[in-house]
Amino acid sequence: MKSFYSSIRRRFLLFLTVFGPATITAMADNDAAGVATYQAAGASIGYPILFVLFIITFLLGITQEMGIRLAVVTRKGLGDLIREHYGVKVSVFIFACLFLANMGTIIVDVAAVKILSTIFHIPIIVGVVSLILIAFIVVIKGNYKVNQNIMLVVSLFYVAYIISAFKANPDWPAAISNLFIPHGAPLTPEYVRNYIIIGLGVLGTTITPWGQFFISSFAYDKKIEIDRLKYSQLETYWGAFITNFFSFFMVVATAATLFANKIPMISSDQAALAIKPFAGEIATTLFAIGVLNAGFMGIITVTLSTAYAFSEFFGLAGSLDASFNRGRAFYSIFVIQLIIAGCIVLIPSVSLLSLAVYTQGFNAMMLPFIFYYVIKLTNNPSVMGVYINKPYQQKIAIAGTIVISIASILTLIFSLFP
Amino acid sequence: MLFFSELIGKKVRTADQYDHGTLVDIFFANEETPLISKILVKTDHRTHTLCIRAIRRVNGHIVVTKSAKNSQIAPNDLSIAKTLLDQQIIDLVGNKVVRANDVVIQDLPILTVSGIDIGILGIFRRLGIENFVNKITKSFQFTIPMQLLSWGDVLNLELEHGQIKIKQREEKLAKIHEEDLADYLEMTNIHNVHSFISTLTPKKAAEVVESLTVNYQVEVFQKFDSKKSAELIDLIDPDEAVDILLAIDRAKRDKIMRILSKEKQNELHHLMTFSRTPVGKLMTSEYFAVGSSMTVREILKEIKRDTGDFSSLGVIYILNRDDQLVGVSSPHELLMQDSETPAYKFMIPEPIVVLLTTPIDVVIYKLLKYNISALPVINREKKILGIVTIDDVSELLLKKIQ
Repeated sequence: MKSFYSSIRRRFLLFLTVFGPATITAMADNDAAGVATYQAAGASIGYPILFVLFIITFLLGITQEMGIRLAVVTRKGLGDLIREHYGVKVSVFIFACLFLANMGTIIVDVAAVKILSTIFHIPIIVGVVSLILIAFIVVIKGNYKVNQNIMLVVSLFYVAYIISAFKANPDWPAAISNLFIPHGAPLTPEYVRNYIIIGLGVLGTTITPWGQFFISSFAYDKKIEIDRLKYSQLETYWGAFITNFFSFFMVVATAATLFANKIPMISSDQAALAIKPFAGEIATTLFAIGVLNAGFMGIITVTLSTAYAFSEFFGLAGSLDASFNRGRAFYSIFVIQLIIAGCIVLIPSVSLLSLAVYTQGFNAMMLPFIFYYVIKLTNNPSVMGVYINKPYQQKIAIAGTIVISIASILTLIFSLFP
Repeated sequence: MLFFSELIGKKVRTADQYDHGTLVDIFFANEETPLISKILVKTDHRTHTLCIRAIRRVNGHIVVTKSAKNSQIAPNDLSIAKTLLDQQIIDLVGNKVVRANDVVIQDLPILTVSGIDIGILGIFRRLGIENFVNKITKSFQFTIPMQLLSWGDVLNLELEHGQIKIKQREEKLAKIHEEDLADYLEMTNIHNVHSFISTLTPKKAAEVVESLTVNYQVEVFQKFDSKKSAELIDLIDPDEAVDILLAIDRAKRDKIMRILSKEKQNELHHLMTFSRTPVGKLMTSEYFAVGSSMTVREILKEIKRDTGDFSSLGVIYILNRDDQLVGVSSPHELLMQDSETPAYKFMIPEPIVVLLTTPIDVVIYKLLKYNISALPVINREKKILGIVTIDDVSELLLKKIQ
């Protein structure tokens, strides 16, 4: 019995040595844009949308697992592998798309500080500048470990959503049963149509191109040994679970308040204010902190994913452990994105909401391409050796890609013909 | 100078238009001098390897001899597409430097891998927009410099382990200009020449020294002691030997001479003193030189403007940014090129040269041996002082025959 416990303990400690990349990537899927989408989903569809969340959790776990396996086995990032196996044309094309899509996501994340001005009455320019400065200092000054730990701590703030959800007094049995079978809503054609559109949005914000790049780069930067691969694989499923565990509460909070009272919502800061009459002052404040926190998380991870991808595609030094001088291109890409995002957010005439919608669509459309390469690479014995996809993984991954492809085509059609 | 990306996809044919297929890969021998050994050709039905000796010409397409046979890939043959192109380059301590965007191939005098393009122009070339980008930047009055890594900087032993590792730390890595590539390649090799030559048989060592240009020959001899030098001089072609001996300092020269056999001493002495007509007297300043980045169109314009009063124009000399002689070309070659091609792409690098101290007999010997119409006379800084043409020495030749 004693040896059983010590073996468990040893395994848990080994798990902790690889812990980080998958959890952070998954948690960052709940960035400000993600939070807004879940809240909108809860507000306009109610509990039945939770069924989509349930399915996405599995998809996220499978795709993240492929990404981390790729990095640990080959000791290269996804960008490295695409460049080496598919050449420079594909690399430049994918990087250009990734840069644009990430730029959109970062802008939406920086815009999360607007919530500061609405709720805490702080001038928006002060908020934007200080948010960017903090992100800048954390990344430039901190090494890998510091960055990882900051982001893990930041992830804890998502607990704010759990509290808000409880404050909203939701119908728990309805919420939980809707995870498995969607029910309890009027099946009007308009509702079904909205269900599909919002469902795609939820998919598009949870499973992202940058997430695929980030998990392999971040795992590579952590230098995980191959004998600990199974612990990393375990972490991807844990990450998928925990991130959607929090998403569940975000949906529930607005479903119980806004959907139940038929109040449409437009943006996150409005959501925070809108739930006030039903959930109270504390829930509102927690909501605001949650959004700000999600924005910060998104800013760091998404900008880093572009910077990592750039240095991988073009072979430059790119690591959080590299000095500023050596990783000049890496850090420059990081800073340039922040500055562009900051400037655009401060332009009053730019519609951030439509930008968020376009970004989501663009991300969704890129996904099939990214998965094509991820599946091809993870199934190539000359790249992966004995670690190629198992038959069931391969089948699920391809099925998932088909689902995502159909979803992204539908997104395109719906956004072209509203 | 050719780029791998420009060769890929070219048709491989015999002179009578038999189609072998399209070029998909090139193999090179993983040795100190990375000679290209084989090409991989693909048709609709199969891929096969052709030996490089079959190649006759590389221009619009690749022309091979009729007798071109399939050949097997040898163990030390490496594929450019698989081991170099798009791969990560790391420095001596393992830091990532950049990726190999393209591979530079020297086609003259013999097909070799001579360097790696690590600049952004390499990416533009692969995307097929290099000329477009150059046109745009030119209209804004600036040019994107080409950044090349000389093969001399690559640790070729590491390639077998699938790594492109360079000999320096990243900070010390010299990014060189296209026109100086051949020269630089030689120079980086020189650093190892001393220890390298000691491992060779004297005969092989002499061959290596002979293939160097005179400046490097001198450098190598300054490093060797007199005994070793004498051993090499003994084996080197007398005309080359005289050039070297006259270029190194007098004290060392005398020491070397004393060690040589009586017979050899006499031979060299004869060559050095008998024809002491100074090259300077025969030299003319009627020569035509252009910068290496000038395009064919620009060069033709200059020829029209500057050479109207020349008696003839046999050779075009090509200079780098420091006015050093880096290559030669001929009017015929010039006419064969596209009008936007820069000179460094088709020049013959490392031209044959003579010094002011070179005896006239040696000059004549070189003119005849290499069958060229003129030899440039350069100083120690590699700047052209003038040229000696075959016409200039014909009178002397006539006298010798009589």
